[in-house]
Amino acid sequence: MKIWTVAFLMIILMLSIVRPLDAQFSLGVNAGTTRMKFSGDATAGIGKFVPEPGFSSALRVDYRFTDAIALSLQPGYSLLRSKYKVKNDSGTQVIDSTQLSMNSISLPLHLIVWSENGRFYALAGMQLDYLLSLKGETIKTPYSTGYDTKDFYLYAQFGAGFILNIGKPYLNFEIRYSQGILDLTDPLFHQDSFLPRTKLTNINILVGIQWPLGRYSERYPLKRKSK
Amino acid sequence: MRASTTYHWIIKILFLVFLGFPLMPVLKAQSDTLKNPQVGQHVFTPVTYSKLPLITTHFSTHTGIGVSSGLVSNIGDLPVDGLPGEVSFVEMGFAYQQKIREWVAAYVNLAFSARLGIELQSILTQGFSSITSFNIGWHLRLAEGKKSLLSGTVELQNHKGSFTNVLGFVEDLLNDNPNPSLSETVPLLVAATGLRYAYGLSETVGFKASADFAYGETYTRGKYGFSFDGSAGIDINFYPRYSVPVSFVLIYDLTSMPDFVYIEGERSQIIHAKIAYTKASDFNLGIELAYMKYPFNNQEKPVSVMFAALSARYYF
Repeated sequence: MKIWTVAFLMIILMLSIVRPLDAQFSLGVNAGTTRMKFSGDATAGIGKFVPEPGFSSALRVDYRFTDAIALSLQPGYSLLRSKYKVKNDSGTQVIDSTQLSMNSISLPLHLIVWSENGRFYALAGMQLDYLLSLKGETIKTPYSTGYDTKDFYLYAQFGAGFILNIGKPYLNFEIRYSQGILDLTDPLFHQDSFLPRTKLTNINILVGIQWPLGRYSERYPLKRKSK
Repeated sequence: MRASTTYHWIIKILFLVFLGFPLMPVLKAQSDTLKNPQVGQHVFTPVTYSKLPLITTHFSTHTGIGVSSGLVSNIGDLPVDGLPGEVSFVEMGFAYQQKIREWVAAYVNLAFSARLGIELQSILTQGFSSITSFNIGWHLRLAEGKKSLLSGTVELQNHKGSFTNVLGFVEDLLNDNPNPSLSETVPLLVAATGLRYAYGLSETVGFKASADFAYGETYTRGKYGFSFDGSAGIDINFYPRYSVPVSFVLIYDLTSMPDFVYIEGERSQIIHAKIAYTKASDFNLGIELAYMKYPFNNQEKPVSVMFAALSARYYF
């Protein structure tokens, strides 16, 4: 982990020497709703996962290499929620449900490709989450407990966004699809005899404001039409 | 289809709609100049299972059915090939690709395919199998010549396979298995990369090829594996020179991709033929026919399958 952090900082440092810094950075904040789902296996024949709305917010630091390409780092906090509906043995009726809530610190790193008009972008990257807490609360039987699970979780992310041209600071909207690439193996979800493939899947809808620093907006202006 | 699966698909379609269509006005200006999938002077016809290297904005869909021929089934050691019983193929797919720059596009694909035993023998031995797939990725132009184009893709594939095994369920009951299972659902997460190549020899004749490699989870839990798809073929467009608005495409395809071949470690050989209407500059409509040698469970050799699909693509 330390090596990757140093490598990332070195890359940023090297790239920042190539061009003047004041025309390449933008800073921002964003917040929005998340919709977390445990995708894949539910406990065999017993229940199903149902997504629930959550919340996330993040700081945003963008470094624009060229007119087309940028790197975006967005450290933030996420409250993710989901529900697990427990069914009877025949699977025909929901008899109870467990409300799951997950607090985590997230560190997404995205490669961004800007369109020619400078207002639309697509992104792809990875997000590393550090789990602060995971709680499962069964609704009909009132008890609450914590569960051991992995401290770190990794997502592959794809998304798109656009900037609404209302002057500075910029107002941006983003939708992001996150596919967890690790399996959860918590016994809450699975019997010991069943080898699970359960991953987290999120859809984030975010609204943010972004401040272009220095001559950023001159170098990369928002255009009404493409060249 | 179960309610949860339906809900899952509705969300994915909403995601597609949210991602794509509201941004059309923002991006339309970029898409005006390039609509036809043209390399050199040749306008290529898209084929569902043999992707083109063009970085365009388009929406495409295909729907098809097929049937096996000559299935020889056994129940345990007892051959029951005296009974009729074939397997039907059903497929449906949607794809949307959004050009971001001249050299890069993002895309999402949604697909559903099923293999269904349709008579007693095949219901018992083959059951019902279906795969729902959601692929998301980027498409990048790698090299461009006067008559040639090479592109690459990087994508994440999310599949969910559902397998209903009637015979296995009966055997479980007869063997007093405490947990008899009629059906099993297996999710797969796969990372894939691919190359697409096209060579426009002339207005009339073009060649194309593609290769895809995937690595990820397999249908066997706890196991990871590689799969691949390779295709090559010829594309003949009669419209530019002869004013006949028809194109003909012939492609050979070899694939072991999990969304097409449901048995791990097996592969299928396919010959695709497509006849399409080519007069419209921004629209392609065609009939895709395929003859394939397809591997089934409980079969010594791959079985012949004939398949027909209606496919359409609109370039924005």
